Amino acid sequence: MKTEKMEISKGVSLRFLETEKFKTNVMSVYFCVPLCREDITKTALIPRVLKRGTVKYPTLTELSWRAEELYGASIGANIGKRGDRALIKCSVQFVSDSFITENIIGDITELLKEFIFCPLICDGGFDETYVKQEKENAKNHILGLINDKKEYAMVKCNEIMFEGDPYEIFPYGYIEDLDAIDGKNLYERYNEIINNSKVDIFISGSFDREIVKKCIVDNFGPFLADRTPEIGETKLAKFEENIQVKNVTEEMPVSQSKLAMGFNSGIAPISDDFYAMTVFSCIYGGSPFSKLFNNVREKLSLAYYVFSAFDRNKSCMKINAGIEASKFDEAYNEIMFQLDKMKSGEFSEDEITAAKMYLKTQAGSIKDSLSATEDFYMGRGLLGVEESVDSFLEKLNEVTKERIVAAANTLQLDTIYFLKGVQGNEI
Amino acid sequence: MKFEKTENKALKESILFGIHESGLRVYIIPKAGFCKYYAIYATEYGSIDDVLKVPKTGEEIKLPDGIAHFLEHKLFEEEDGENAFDKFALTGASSNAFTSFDMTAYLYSCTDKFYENLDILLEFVNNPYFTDENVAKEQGIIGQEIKMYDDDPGWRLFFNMLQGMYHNNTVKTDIAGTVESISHITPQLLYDCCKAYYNPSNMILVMVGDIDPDEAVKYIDKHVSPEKDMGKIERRLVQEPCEVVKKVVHQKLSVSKPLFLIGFKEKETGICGAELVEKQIKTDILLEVLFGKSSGFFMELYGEGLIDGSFSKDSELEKSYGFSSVSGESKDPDSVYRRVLEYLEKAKTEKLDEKVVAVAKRVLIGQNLRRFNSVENLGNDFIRSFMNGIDPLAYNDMVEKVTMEELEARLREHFDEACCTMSVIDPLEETENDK
Repeated sequence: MKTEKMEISKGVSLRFLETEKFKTNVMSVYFCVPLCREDITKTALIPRVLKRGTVKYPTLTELSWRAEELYGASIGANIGKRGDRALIKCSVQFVSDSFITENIIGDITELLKEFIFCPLICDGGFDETYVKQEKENAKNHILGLINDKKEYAMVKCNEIMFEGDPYEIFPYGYIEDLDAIDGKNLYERYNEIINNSKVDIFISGSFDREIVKKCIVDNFGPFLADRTPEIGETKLAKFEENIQVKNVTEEMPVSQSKLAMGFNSGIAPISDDFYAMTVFSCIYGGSPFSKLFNNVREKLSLAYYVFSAFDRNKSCMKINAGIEASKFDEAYNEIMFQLDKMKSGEFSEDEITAAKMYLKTQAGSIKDSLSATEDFYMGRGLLGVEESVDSFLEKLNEVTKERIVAAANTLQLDTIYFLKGVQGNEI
Repeated sequence: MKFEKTENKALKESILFGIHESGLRVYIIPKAGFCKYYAIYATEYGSIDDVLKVPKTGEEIKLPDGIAHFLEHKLFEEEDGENAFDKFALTGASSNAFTSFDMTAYLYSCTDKFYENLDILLEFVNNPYFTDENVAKEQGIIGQEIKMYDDDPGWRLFFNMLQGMYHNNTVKTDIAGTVESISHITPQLLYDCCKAYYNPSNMILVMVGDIDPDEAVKYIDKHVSPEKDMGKIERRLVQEPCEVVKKVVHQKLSVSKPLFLIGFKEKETGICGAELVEKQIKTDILLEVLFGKSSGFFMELYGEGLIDGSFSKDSELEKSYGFSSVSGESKDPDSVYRRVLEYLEKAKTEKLDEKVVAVAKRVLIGQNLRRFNSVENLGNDFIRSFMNGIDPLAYNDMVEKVTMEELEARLREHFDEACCTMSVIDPLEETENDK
């Protein structure tokens, strides 16, 4: 894959990721802002309102129709968080010109421009009807977190672990903040984001670089003037002396209980320790041959799923398992027992080799997906590092057992959240 | 063994197909430029197979619900106390398996050592090892899997629809069975199923990537013996009335807002090949035209707050079962249900708009092209096509060929109120959601 990065104005980058192997292309624009309790609900509402209509395609019907005409291009926007930052992603996936009888890349760029930069505006604000309806949809979405118990347990664990820290913020916003939002103040927030945030544009797939570059500069350029974005630093989840582990149990009428645990680490996201932690994570709970899978599931038969994941941006580890309400102690003890074994170096060179090979396959998955490749580069860009998938793999291969043990020893239990099932479901 | 090649020059794709001397059907989808290789090895045996008719003797064995899925879990277990995941760990491959209504599949993806991994795959699937002890252990793990799905509103919504829809078709049985049904599974039953359903003529192997057929065949020769061949296992055909069991099925779970799934049962089963794919295409074009995001119907209900962005449409037409559906979240599923039925009745009396149909065809063609973006998607989608006797490379041309008359006929025939079931998941308590 060929890649090149350029600036189209100050604070606005454009990256090309070129490869011939896919039949579709992706064009994305990311806006990055600090995570902030005061404005997250507005920020989260913007992608919803953008989907409703533009100056040229003022209704959802017309906007969808236009995308469908372009061989079912899928256009959308969403919000996520990366460390202490919120990230709005607006993206369109479309068929590459070589598989259809016409050239659509110009039309696609124009559509994405309309979608992001030319929303339907009435009396100096977003359309009030759209805003009202999308506030209702946002409210339902926030309430809907409870539908997925696994996700719910993870979010709860995170909120407890990071109480008082920006990272506790739920990226979809808060119901109590919705009332105060109207078309005008939402449009003000939109303009702040468009004019001041850090912007990253990606075009991935197969295309003529000069043509697409001109398309993007001509279409997006007028809306993306020079800027000095303030995206702030992420405060890492560091090891604390004399920590008091937070332990919260919530009861709910569900069949399966969910155990979620959070650990501090504090290793720097840009450091060799991060690579050691990646290998650690694979051996401990991030693969089908991991310590957690083989012991909590296969040996003790306590869970169907159990895994750990390391969050590079915040430098913390999360563990999740679906277990029987009465088996909390057994599951918890085994999870901690396996961690202690990792900390004392009780794992083999073979396991390290297996983890490195498994991670190579995972890296192959990144390279074999345009959106995953884009995500890889976007994530590194936010951390301020230039790294290719191959150099990432090289770094992983240099990791030694000693460094894995050192990485494991940075982990400190901070929070235990238990969603305890109390009765069967009624039908 | 010999391979035959089919090609689609416009798509720049081809497929190699051959039948191994054991009866195993083998497909290779050459894919250059991708880092990963993929292999999927499947038997035409799934949760709908509730009675095993033993080849040769003709003896019929009633099977406990969930046994196909149980067997899928257990095949990973090896005689030496290890499991196949540990073997794949030595090569770096990422392996998995799944059980659906009519198929059980074992798969891996890898960047290196494709043939070594193929060796592991073919070895573990063809060498079952079951003991009382390892069966008992799995009952605990699968028990947790069943409970996880019991709490999953989307999963319950789907199976409640099937139970409301089907009288006799075993597609309504939960894939993993119940904690009670799996307690009847014994090593002997697992061996019986394995011997019959995992015989070469009942299986398909699909490999995706830059693969040397001769090299792959060496490993097939090594593990898949013609002696094991017992011919294709007959699937019991059940008589299923057109009408549904129940019009509406409700369940309460801890959700924030009601979820609905409105399904239409397919009347005709037993068809396969081009006929089946044509039917799929017609149904998908109609769903796109009638319920797509640019349809007037979607906008109207969205504007009224009856549905939201979660509204979607789907169809699943297979040889032994079939249905199409619309689903989403709504504060008032009964109104959505009534509006959907009224809308369809009205649509049946009108002509379809040619321009709208043309755009819907483009959407289908665009979606089909996306399948080629991932070796895993290709393997998973195409193995299903091969099982149904479908040439997946002909898809785009078949979409183009569908006529207005055929679509209108399909609309009148398929979307029938008598074949319609709505499944609803309600919140446990009335919430203050609707101010």
